Amino acid sequence: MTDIEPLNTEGKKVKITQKVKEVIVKETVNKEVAKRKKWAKFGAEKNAAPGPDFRTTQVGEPVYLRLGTAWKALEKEEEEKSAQEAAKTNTYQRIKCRTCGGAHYTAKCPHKETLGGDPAIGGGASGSPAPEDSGASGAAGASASAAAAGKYVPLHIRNRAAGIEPEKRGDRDDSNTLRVSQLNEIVTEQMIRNELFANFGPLARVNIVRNRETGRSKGLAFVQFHTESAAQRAMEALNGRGYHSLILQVEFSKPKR
Amino acid sequence: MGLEQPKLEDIPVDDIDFSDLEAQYAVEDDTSFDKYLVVDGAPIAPEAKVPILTKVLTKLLSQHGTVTNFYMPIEDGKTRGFAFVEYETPEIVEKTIKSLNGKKLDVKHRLFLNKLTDIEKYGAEGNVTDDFQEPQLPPFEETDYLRSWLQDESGRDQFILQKQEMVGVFWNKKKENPEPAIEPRLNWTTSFIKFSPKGSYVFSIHPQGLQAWGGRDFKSLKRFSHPGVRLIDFSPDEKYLISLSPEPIILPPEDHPKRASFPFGPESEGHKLIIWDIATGLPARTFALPPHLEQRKEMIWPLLKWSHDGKYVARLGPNALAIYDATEDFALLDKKPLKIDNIMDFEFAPHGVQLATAKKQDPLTHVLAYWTPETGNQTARVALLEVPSKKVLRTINLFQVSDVKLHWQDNAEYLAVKVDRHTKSKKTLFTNLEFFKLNEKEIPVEKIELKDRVVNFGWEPKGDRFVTISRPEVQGANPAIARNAITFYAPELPSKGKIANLKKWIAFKVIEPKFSNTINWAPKGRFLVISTVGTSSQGGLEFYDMDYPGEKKESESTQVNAHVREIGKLEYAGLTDLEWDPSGRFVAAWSSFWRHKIENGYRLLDLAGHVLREELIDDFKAFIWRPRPESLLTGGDRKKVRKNLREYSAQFDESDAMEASEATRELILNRRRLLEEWTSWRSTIDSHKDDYGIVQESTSNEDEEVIEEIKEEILEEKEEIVA
Amino acid sequence: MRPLLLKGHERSLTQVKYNREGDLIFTVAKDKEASVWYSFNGERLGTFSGHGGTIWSIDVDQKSELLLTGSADFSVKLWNVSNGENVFTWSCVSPVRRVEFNPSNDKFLAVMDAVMGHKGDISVFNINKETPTKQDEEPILVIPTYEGLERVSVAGFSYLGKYIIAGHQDGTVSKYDAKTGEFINSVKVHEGLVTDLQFSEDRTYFITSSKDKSSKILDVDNLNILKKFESDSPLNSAAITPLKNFVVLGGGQEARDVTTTAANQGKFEARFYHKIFEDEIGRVKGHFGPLNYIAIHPKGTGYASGGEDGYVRVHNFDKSYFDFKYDVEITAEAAAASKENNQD
Repeated sequence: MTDIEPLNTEGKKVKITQKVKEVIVKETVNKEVAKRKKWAKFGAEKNAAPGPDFRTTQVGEPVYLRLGTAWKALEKEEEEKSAQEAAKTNTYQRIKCRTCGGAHYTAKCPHKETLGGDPAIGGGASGSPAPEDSGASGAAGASASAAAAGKYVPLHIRNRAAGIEPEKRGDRDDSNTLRVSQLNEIVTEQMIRNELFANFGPLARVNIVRNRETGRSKGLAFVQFHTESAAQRAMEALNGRGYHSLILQVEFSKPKR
Repeated sequence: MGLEQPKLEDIPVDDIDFSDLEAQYAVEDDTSFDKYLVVDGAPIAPEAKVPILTKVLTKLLSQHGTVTNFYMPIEDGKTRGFAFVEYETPEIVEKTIKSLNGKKLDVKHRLFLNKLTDIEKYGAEGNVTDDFQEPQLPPFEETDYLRSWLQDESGRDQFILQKQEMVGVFWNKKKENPEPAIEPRLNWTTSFIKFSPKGSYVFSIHPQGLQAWGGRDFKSLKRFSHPGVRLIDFSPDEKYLISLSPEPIILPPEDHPKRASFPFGPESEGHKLIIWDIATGLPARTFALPPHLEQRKEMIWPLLKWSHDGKYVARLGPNALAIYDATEDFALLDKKPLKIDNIMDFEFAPHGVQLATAKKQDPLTHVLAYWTPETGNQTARVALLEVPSKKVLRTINLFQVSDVKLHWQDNAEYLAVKVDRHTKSKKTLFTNLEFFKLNEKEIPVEKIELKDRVVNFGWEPKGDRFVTISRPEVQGANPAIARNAITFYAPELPSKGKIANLKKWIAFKVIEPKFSNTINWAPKGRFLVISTVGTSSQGGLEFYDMDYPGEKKESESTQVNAHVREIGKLEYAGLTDLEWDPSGRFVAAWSSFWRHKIENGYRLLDLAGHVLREELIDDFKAFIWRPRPESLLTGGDRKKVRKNLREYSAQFDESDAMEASEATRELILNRRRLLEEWTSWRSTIDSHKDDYGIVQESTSNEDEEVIEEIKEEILEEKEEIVA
Repeated sequence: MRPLLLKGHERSLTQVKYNREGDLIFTVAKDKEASVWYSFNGERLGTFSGHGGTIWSIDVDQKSELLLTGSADFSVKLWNVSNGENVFTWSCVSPVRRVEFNPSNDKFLAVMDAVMGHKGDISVFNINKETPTKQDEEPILVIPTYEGLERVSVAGFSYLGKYIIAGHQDGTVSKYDAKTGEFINSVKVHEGLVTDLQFSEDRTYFITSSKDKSSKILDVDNLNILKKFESDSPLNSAAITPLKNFVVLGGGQEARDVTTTAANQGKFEARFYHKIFEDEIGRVKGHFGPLNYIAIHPKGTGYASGGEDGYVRVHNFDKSYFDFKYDVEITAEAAAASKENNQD
């Protein structure tokens, strides 16, 4: 049987198909109950076949009852988990036009002409720190900034000013990643997870940079959060804090866009 | 005769001053008999043989200095069996007595040597009264109940934390701050502090000796004067304390006021090893340190090993094993040590042994195992010795042996002998494990040959499974590369249709490569911690369950009664030591200042490796669980506890929650009150019910029958997004 | 747990009831037809048609032979459960909000609404069990709304049918002698309409629910408030679970008060509270509208909820439901058990 639910959680129409088998179950019951079981159907059900009719009776989706005084916390935890999972499955939607923000490749942007092309190449529209960019407005002026200053700016810094990191490591999104330096050598991934960053939200990834030969920590680690706000909070709380006799330095692994 | 000689009588002698002459010719009035020795027990010989006897005895007695005078009284033409000997100095007398007293001259005659002064002192009539004078008993001093900590209502365990110069005794409160049992004490001990094996006493170390503490407030109980004491040990029944100091015992001079109260007699002069009776605080026996140990930098400890019940104690001598009976004032068994050439090491069975030859009602046998190395044409040997009969029960011969370690299973059903062997070229080492099965007829030995060298071996307490850590022996290996393998062994299950075959151990699981180097079984078995201790970079603990309740995977062996699974893991860089609590529910792991200065402090874990507490403490030294005596519960009691475990654990959970915080405590108390109110209200209602005439409907199963019902069952459910 | 969805009604459910053995579920809604279902598989056994308006209330006798329905069409009807036959109809002065048999099934009460000048009352009728088609038209007792109180919204019989307990529109609960109709006392329990009143198994205490978002347990004998359960939305129903010390509350913001129903889809919940400790201990989602009535299986093994969304959802509890206990309860039981052991 099928049933169309009006909308699912993502606001889409969903068709749910259930394959149902009728099974015969034996049960021990009170004599009175057994007698009632043999009654003929009446009213609207008169002459209906034995067994449940799918038009009036249906097996619902499973629901859960978790008893306990902390049920709210449990439920919240689960919601967060499912939200995270949803976030994961939605990653394919990460294609984002840098010109207009639409869900298409920048090169195919329909507004390419009107909005003046890739701001990364242009040097950034509004966030540019170029000091002499006072009068000039828009992409053209900004693009001139580096050149107008008349001195050589290394490529990666030029791009950094524009707020975009060169695409080094494939498509990995580093916007939620913190760079933790001045770590004591003895600090392990475990300690970072459980001691330092335990209270700021779930972590996606923790990496300590180690010497490839000796396996000794170089005192540098990258910590990736699921959300930027969590990363922000962690940075604010931990930057400059002492940990194992050293003062931590925590910053975003790349400047925020 | 002209000149008359004056008569001698007339000369007034009193008038003459002889003082100058007297001074000149004064004979030293040597009334002290220090230089004299009395020999007893010499043969009674006819006069004719006196010269020969004199010659023999003089020669024998002049080992430590010249005999200046020898007098053997003769009566009725026969010697009387004793002689007087004079030496040049009293020191020679002392030495001679020490070395020759009790010397056997021949089968019939044994010499007894005594100082003449002692004979005067004790032998002369009247010097020692014949009347028995009852010794004065010191007034009885009541001590605290020494096991009071076992009466804790929640059955918690105690532990000692030693940090900086402070030592404190605490109650384990799991996640919470440990609760001090007494005010922590500054400089309680100058080095370490140690509990006795059943936890009744705690001993502190001081320059002058030891001190025992106990009772609820850890009051001072006894002092044991042993200057410079370094190492201590106990008999397993907590009756005796053994202490060792590099400083020998020196008796105060005879006339010194301290001599009277000095606990040691002259026979202890120069000894370094003392067995003390803990209850009286007095020495029970002293030993000199064997000469071959005097020069050792690192002392072998314990020097004395006890049988499981504390009845026998033995020590290793060069080419001999000395076994003493602790119940007979530590007398040497058969009055002589057992000669065993080149004996290297020995271990008493940690439990009485049920030999197959013994009858069921016989008391269990005391057994010890020892080994001797290869010498000349002799093979190396491991032997089992019955005590006190000194009968050898079983030996095995081994060759190409470089080292042997004896590992008794704690029920003494098995002895595992780890034999490190070398190839003919002596370049590589590998291990054989030899298992003595003591309960079986003729004590069969099972052998496991390995390619690698076993560096650590651990029996499961009360079990027949064990774990080894082994590694291939490679010269100049890089220590930064993990090379150790953890191997789990268990006896093979009898295969179907066969009669129970001989007990054979098989390695059912190997985990490698690892840095792990230490095995710590939980005191009740089943769980164990394998850890990497002492390396600053790789330290960590892994928790294993040998009877993991889940289904076995296909790859896992079904031939054994074991299912091992890692249940927890913790990286701990600074780890230097770890110890299970006596109940086997917690593990304390710590980084001791005595070993290094990395991350000093401790962590308290549960048996699945979850960290309950963590404290970083500068100069943290040690975490010491207070041991417990064995349980008084009978097998039936235990069964009952196990049956009702669920209910008990609910109570424990609740008290845990109440401990956790004041707020929860309030909450729980409030809930208790609510529940009580409700139940009491319901019971008053119930008691009124009869008055009301409410009849509880009785539901009987009599009028029941079986019917068939049609039910829907979902086989599949698909969700499609409709565009 | 997988609930059974009963979709026999076209409009909001008004009341849901199990029979004594729990094998049948009777449901009534605003759509003029009552239904009876097998609780085991959700199969509909039949319908009862004849009313001309919303059926507000339904009740079945102990033997599952006779069924009462009270309707907005100014009538109470008596039905034969086994074949759906309408055996008798009482015409009333106003819409009937509640009908209920007394425990011995020889009488029933009907709560008359206050409309068109009528002030509302509780009418008690005799039941002729021998010949159900022949009944007295007139009530044997009429308890008019007590002076100073607003109209009665719900009512029921206490243990042995000794008292009638009524809940009022203003939140008051009042008590009457069931034989004489004499007013005994009243207590102001709620700040708003009392929406439901269900008794414990032995009818010595009862639970009320109210639009003031709270629910309370009262002692029949003295109307003392024993327990109080706070919630965050108006409540339409409250029930006490046999077997376990829980109560189940149902309600929700009414559809017209909720701005975006889409956001809350399927999130109308049955709320479980601990009867003794008053804590909320869990919720069951599922309805698309407020829960109008909650009925617990007489053996405490499940419950059915009727919703504003027109669905009845029948649940059978999982094992975890039966296992759940507060540590305090387990400890108390263990203490009791060990006491017993010691006595052996």
